[in-house]
Amino acid sequence: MKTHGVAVALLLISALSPALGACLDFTPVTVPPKEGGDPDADIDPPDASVDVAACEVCVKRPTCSTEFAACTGTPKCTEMFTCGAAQGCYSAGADLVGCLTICGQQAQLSGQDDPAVGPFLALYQCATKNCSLPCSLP
Amino acid sequence: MRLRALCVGLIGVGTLTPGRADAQVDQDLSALLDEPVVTTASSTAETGTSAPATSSTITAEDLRRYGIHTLQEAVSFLAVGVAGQHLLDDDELGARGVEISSDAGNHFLLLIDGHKVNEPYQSFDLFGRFLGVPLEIVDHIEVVLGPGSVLYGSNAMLGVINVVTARGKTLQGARVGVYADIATLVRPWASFGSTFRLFGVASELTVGVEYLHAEGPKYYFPSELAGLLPSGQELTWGGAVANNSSRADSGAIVTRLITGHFDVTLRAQGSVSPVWSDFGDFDSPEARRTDRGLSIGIKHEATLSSIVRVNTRLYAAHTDHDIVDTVTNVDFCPLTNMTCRFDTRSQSRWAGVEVQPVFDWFRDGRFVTMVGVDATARGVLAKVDAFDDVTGRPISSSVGVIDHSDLIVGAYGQQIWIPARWLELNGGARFDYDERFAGVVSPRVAATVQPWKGGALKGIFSEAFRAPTFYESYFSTPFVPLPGPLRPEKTRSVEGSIEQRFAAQRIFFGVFHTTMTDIIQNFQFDPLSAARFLQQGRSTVLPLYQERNLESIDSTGYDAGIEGSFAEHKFTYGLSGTTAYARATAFGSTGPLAVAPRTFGNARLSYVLPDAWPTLALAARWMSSRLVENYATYAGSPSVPAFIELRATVSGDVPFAHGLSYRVSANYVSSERTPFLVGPTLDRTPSLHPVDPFRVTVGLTYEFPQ
Repeated sequence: MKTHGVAVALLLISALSPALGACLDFTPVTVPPKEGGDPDADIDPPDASVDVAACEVCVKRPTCSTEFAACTGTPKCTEMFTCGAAQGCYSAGADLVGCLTICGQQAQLSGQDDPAVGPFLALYQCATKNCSLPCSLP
Repeated sequence: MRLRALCVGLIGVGTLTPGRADAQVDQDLSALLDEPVVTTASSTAETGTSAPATSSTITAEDLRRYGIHTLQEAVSFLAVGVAGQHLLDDDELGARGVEISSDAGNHFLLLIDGHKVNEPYQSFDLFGRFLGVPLEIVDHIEVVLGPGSVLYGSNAMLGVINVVTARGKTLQGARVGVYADIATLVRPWASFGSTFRLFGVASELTVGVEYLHAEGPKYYFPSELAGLLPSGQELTWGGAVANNSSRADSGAIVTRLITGHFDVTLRAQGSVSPVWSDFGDFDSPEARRTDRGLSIGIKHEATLSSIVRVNTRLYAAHTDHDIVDTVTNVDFCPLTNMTCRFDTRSQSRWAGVEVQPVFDWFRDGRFVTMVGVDATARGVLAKVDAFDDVTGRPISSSVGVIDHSDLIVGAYGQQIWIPARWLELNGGARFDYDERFAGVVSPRVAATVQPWKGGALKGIFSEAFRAPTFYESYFSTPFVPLPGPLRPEKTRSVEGSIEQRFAAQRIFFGVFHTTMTDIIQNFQFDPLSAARFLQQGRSTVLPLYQERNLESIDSTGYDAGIEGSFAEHKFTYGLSGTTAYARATAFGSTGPLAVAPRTFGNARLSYVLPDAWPTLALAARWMSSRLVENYATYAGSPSVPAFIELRATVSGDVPFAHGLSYRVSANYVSSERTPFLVGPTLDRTPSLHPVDPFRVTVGLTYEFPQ
């Protein structure tokens, strides 16, 4: 009885160990930036859910006019701003992740060194502070 | 484990002859034998009274008698100073007014048969139903409160919990059983214990196996805002019963082989359980986490002379976690008409050796020196992938990729000195080396004075630390920059206690003051700080959050308890309570801690009826109101009310069925919610983890005839 019990226990151990030893694959996935993996996964143009014109009117006022002028001097910043306005990025509680992911990719920002980053950040801060209501989603 | 168990083979029958026994001797002997023995506090078997820490010992009989099903329940219902809370995905533990939410349990050090369980990636601890040790083979659980890094290194911030499995000679025989939470969970298990000779050496074997399947409880979650779709439409979460997210399966096998001077514990476990992330879709059938672990620990004790013995420990372990979640929220899946599937994988492997010479200079335990060196090699692999949920194609390159290994080394020394029968001193320190930060020294000094019969006064000063996990040190994505050099979290505690024993009764009262510094948390960037971070050239895109040493905590309070038994242990009782005033400081502002109760405790009583009648047991625990997680982000700092949990258990042998026994428990909780957030939590009122208010559990055990 005792010998049999020990054998059963050892059998259980040996049966379970290989199952646990099967390892997960940790090879990093690499997707080329231009191809985006799946063609269907390309970023679509944002829907014009926000009254962009009303948002622009607000940011052109004196409180943000300097930042707006600096931004419009850079094409990528202008594109980011327009995209951000359409996405409601300047409304209260807007999430930076979605805005940056969508608009940054759409404007094809190259990264931190991109000349559009500085002006956009300045305008972003001014718009969220002073124009959150007209720049909100309806 | 109590001295009674230790001494039963040591005390000669002659010393207990009726002719010499009088009432006083019986009482003294009973008091001595009922003293719990702990080995975790100083790595040496000693009574709870003289141990250099406040400790509780939970026996196998306690677990059975009070219908305990998880480690969290065991420490919450039966230990002093520890408060556990049950969540949908696992259980959280706090101690003495401090609980750090979403810490994966890594402020406690969990040991199984003395071997560390906390893995390097997230220092994950499982205190709930996925512990991976069938409680039916547990001999006892030691709970040591307060900093314990002096012997164990990282993670022993709030305390050390040591789950000790039964020896083969204690468990003797084969048993099978099943327990079920009515309509929600079933857990069959089997155990085997035996003594035998292996290559001529006296040996013992313990085996425990369990399988758990859960189909509930199934909770309804009210509908709430979950963010936006890329089109700008609102996304909702909840509004239905979470059917898929109530299913879980797990299995575990634990074996312990003692042969000669070797003690080997082998453990394997695997579980598949729901994912409750704050950004994932509601009740997605694909959202699952798979956790697996395989570990071996070998202890060897060599007695070189009457003065010197050397303990050696070899250990190796592998754990991996695969978390799959589906997300439609634009913030995390900003692609039109698509659901993203995130796959987060991590794997930890570690192996090491600890050598611990012990010198009993006068051969009588009065002056004992222990030194030790513990070296561990560790390696972690991790990554996060995002896929189109329909086509399965990757939509971005892997982020959070970690492929890192290191070597950590700890060296420690401890001196026990008993200059007089009424005085015991314990001092020690440990130095830990980790390439990520400057070496850490964790000292402890303790003195126990026993100035009168049955009384003990204890004073303890101790420090501990928690090293940053690999996740905290090395995880990064384009929006989550690598942290700067993180410092280890540290804690320092000063405590004093008084204890009085009379016969089998014990009264305890202790006060403590604990400080914790450099608590690692997510620093959430606001637009201004994100811009500054960019301008400083520390990131390539606007950062969202970053792991930083942010918070410090102070907690002052007291523990108190009374426990004991009457009528030759037929009637047992216990009552303990803790009150703590704890404050957290971050960014220059101080406030109360979230989710941690200011007052909590437990009570229990049981009676063994004569003959074939059952054992009756009632256990209770309670907590004061608790502020909800992230309470400062909600108007009015919401909290959940105080609660009491009652558990009545009846157990005994099934009449006319030799070898068959039963256990029936009914559990009632007066609260409907825990203070922990669940779901996207974007609404103005927090959505909280629900509580199963009433549960009936039935268990049957069959013991095979030997």
